[in-house]
Amino acid sequence: MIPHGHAGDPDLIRPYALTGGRTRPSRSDLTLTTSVVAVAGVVDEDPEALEIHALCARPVTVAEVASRSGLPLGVVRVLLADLVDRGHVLTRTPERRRDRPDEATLRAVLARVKEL
Amino acid sequence: MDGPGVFGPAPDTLKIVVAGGFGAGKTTLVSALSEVEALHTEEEMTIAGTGVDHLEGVEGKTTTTVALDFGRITLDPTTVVYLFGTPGQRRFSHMWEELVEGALGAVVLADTRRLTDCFDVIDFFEARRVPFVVAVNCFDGHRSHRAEDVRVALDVADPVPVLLCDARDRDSVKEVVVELVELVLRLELSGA
Repeated sequence: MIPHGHAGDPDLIRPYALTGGRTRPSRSDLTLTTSVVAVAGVVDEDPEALEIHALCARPVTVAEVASRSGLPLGVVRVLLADLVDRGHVLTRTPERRRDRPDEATLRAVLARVKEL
Repeated sequence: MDGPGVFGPAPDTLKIVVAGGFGAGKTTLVSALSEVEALHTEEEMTIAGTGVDHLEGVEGKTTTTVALDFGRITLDPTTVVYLFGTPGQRRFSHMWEELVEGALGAVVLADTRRLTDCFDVIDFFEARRVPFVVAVNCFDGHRSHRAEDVRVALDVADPVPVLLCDARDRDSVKEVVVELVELVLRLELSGA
């Protein structure tokens, strides 16, 4: 919401009007590289949430959704979390645990990078 | 939460953080290996800190946006590398916490004209035990600096690789990434 008489750049404040003023997502598992994918079906949401849902038609990361929507990361996180809570979007996690990859993976990565 | 099996697991994502001062060549480095996308993040500004009065009524703080560049490199169908660029000065440290979470390691891209821009982020990586290499961007074309001089100036320990690079050159950037992965491999093998 833009305060009456606000003299600055309205873009500084407007994004969070899209989230009802919320700046924290309802869940904390949406990291930059968390993969998300939309569940097909009728989605009755605001236009921004619909756009985010559409951007997840194929598996993408949170970073890519934010980049392609043009919305700030924080806003995208709040809206994505809502979509996940309502069952419209699923998060997917890699099979690997979250710490450092093992030796075999690192050697494979090294070989692939050299081939780039 | 995992989705149903029909979607299968997500590819293994390896994250590399590219940190450096403004104009050090982070975007150029990322674009040497992949398409670059820009992400807008919010940086909190407190009214007390900015000394402006026209934001009255915005509950004491507002945000300004900072663009974060990133690139995606698909190594094979099951492995994807993300390179995230971030400014290296302390006031951007709120981003670093998230960027280093689960990261493979980092590249500190140094501009020899402004080495001090790297100090904060090097301190941070050292404190958080994030493996990193220092890449000295010689974008003026001639390699007028010696890697060892930069190592001394930045006061980084011996195990940290310091190498010269040209952020515009794909092969040169590949060398930087290879150097980082080899460092991580050495750490893995030594049980560090």
